[in-house]
Amino acid sequence: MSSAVQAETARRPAPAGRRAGRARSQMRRYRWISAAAGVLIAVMTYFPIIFVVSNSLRTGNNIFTSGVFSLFNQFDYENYARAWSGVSTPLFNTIIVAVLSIAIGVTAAVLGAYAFSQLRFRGKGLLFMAYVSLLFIPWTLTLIPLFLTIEKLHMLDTWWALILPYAASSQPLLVLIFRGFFDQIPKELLESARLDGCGEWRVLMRVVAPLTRPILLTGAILVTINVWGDYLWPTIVIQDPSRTTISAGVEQYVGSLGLNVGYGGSVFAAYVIAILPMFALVGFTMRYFVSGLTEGALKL
Amino acid sequence: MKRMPGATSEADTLDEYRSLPSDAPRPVRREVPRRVIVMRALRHGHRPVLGVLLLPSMLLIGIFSYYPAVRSLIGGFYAWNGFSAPTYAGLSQFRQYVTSPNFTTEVKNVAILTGGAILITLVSQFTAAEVVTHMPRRSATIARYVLVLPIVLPPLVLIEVWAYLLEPHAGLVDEVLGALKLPQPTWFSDPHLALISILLIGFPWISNLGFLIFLGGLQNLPKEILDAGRIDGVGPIRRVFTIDIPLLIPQFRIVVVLSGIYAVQNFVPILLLTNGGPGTATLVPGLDMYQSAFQSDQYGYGMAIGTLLFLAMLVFTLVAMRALRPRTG
Repeated sequence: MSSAVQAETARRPAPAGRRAGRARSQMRRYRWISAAAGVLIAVMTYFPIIFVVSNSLRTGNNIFTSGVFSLFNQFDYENYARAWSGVSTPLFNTIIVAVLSIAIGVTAAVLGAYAFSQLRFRGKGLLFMAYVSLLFIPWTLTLIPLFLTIEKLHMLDTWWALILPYAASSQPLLVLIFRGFFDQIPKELLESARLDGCGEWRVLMRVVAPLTRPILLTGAILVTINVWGDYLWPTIVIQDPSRTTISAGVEQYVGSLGLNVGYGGSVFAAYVIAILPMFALVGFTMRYFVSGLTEGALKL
Repeated sequence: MKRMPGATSEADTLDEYRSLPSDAPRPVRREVPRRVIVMRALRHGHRPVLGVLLLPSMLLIGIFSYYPAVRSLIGGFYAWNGFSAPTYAGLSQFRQYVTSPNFTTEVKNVAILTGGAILITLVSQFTAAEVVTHMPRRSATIARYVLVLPIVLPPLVLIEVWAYLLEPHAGLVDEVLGALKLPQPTWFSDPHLALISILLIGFPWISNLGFLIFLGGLQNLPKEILDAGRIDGVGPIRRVFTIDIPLLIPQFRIVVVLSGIYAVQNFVPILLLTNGGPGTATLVPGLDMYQSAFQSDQYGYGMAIGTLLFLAMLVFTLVAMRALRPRTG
């Protein structure tokens, strides 16, 4: 925004006063400084990723010995074949768990948020507070009893032990975001649909649903990132290595290589396999991802 | 029964509409379908619809969020090993934890980690947001994209990569320090540096929610104030302290609370890299809770620690919210 203002003021005839002129030229200089700083920040941020990619292509045990300054001096694609055989199962598991968590979590949140936004009922404010306050209940408080609940439901070592808690933990944020979205739908649109004889259910399915595609995508992205990045919970409820998700699966794979330094490159190849789908997903849907994150935070 | 605004003259209310004899002349053109009338009558009720809409979501949070939370608050008062029947223990488990030899160390460690994380987060993410705000518009858009993308890095990968980078002597950081003829710390293995090493994970700590929140705040500052500042000759550095920071107090508040809550609980890097060591140098309440429950089968004791953690976080949140409340006027 501020750069737009700057461009505007630059085009106008110079305002009176030398101070303003000095400030503007200073502004221009700071723009260059900030551009340089931006590049520096980006390089520092991406360095670990570059480090991983470079090492994923190294042969055998050259991770430490061949000089870490020389990035991309070897190209051993065998590492990826080895790593793939180790982490492909967790990768597919993650996709299944994510899809089912989205199907359950996003659907439940859309319906709930619609009720909060469009319907009047007693205790609505209180019930909504119950959702929002969940954002402040620390997961460490619920970790142990949640495990005990899953155990009692005989879900240990099944994907349901992951899917249902993920779907549940997505509710507060998603209901918050979705409600904000539904609140913005013009009342007249829904009223006219009701006047035309649509029942509440049909209003939801025929009028509201087509409008919700962007926020559904936002919700799906947020749930996927949560499923993808969670390491702790799968290690607690999933014992069977063939059923775990990617973060825990990668760690298991790395552990299974043990101290065999000859497979050093495969460790990093496994990390790349864990990173890449997320970068691809969010890289192409950045707008939805950002709007989901910021809207949720700003409504707190 | 209220008069329906769109009802026809033959049946002004729903009751009358219903009580019309079946052979009574119906309105020729049904301007208001019956469904609408019924629906309007139900406007304040909507019970069936409401149940269907809210039930799935409420079931989910009821079973998997609220029930565990309540059970945790109660569970701390019972000693339970997961097999035999729980026995009521009163406050003894809380007392046991508070008087345990590691308690002060754990509190000190988590305080350092949380304080450090909040400080790091605020400085790095606010600075980055300032930098991006001052960029020309198009490069600012690119910079935002580039800096937001790594938010999706799985934490596990980031932790493990930093373990490689901070590997004593052989890791990249020590290699650089060695090349510069500087001392090469042993990072995670050094009791005095282990906590700092944990904090170093994720350097430069920019790609996070706080960066987006600050950036959004900076890019939406009122134009009038910025223009006024520019006309008064306020340079970019002074602008940061006299305009940006005072106006972004609400953003600072959110970021302090969110990053604080995250840092207090985040024992995953410690679990993966040091397991509380060397010695007790990186032991934190969260890890103690995890180990008590899942390694020593002391579920009740673990829930007692969890309850204390919750109370500590509640106090922290309330204090932070109050200390950083927006000042009007």
